[in-house]
Amino acid sequence: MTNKLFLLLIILLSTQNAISQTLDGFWQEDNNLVAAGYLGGYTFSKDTFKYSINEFDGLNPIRTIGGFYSINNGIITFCATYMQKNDDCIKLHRDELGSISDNWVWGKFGKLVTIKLVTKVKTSATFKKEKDFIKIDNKKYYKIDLSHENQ
Amino acid sequence: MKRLILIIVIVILSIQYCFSQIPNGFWQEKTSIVSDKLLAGYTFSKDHKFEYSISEYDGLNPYIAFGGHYLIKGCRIYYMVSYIREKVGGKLCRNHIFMLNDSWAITDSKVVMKKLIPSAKATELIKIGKKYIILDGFKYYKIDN
Repeated sequence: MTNKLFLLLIILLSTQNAISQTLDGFWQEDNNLVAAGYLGGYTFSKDTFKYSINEFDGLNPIRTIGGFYSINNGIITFCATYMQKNDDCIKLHRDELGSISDNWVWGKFGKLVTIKLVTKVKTSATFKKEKDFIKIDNKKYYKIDLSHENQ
Repeated sequence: MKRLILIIVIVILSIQYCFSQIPNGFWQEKTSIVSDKLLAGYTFSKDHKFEYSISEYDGLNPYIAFGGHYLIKGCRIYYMVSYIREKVGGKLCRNHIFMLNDSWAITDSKVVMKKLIPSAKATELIKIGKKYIILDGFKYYKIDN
């Protein structure tokens, strides 16, 4: 009986680890199509996550939120520890690349700075992994192959 | 004949004048339907003032609106942006009332108005219809208060 319980525990832990490993990479919201930029999405790497906003949003100085994550029993728990923000938005103008906000964008973004959150933010969501996508709070995210970016 | 030409000139000038002030109120992008929150859009008010506000479903962007004055000449609208409204302070969280950015949002912040120095100038095509206006090919619908 003890051996069976021990074996079951090992299988459970291995499954958790397997899900975490297959998550590594960038998962884009809504679809797996890539145009001039990426939509919002999550990058997972080992036990860390980074949420990056839609690249067609040229008005938001906050570009990413990141920290640690874990998955347990269909729940993903995020512990956000930092934000990355453009430290100086100047020269508001119109650009087709900012298609989310009627093409309004900030021109010279300044430097991307990492801001440590004074208080870590812990939050959770339902999580499901399907064949071609993952679901976080019932929203689909598709794996994007970023290997072409290094070519 | 001269009278006819004069009438035509007056009508053309009148049309130009009619379109130089967009009807006051909020014009929402994409749809005239309003659910819990407003989508992005423009508020036009007297004295050729305008304000562009981001979607209320975006709780993350601290720059929630900007505005100034506008001018219409022919088929183009010219904007001069002189201020922005910005959220300061607050805390990061995930809140499902905000549907964009996977519900990541900054809440409990204060909104301040900042002058934009120098002011920003921009232009786009405009077409004014009965129920909507078209800005650079995108429709904006008048929302009743």
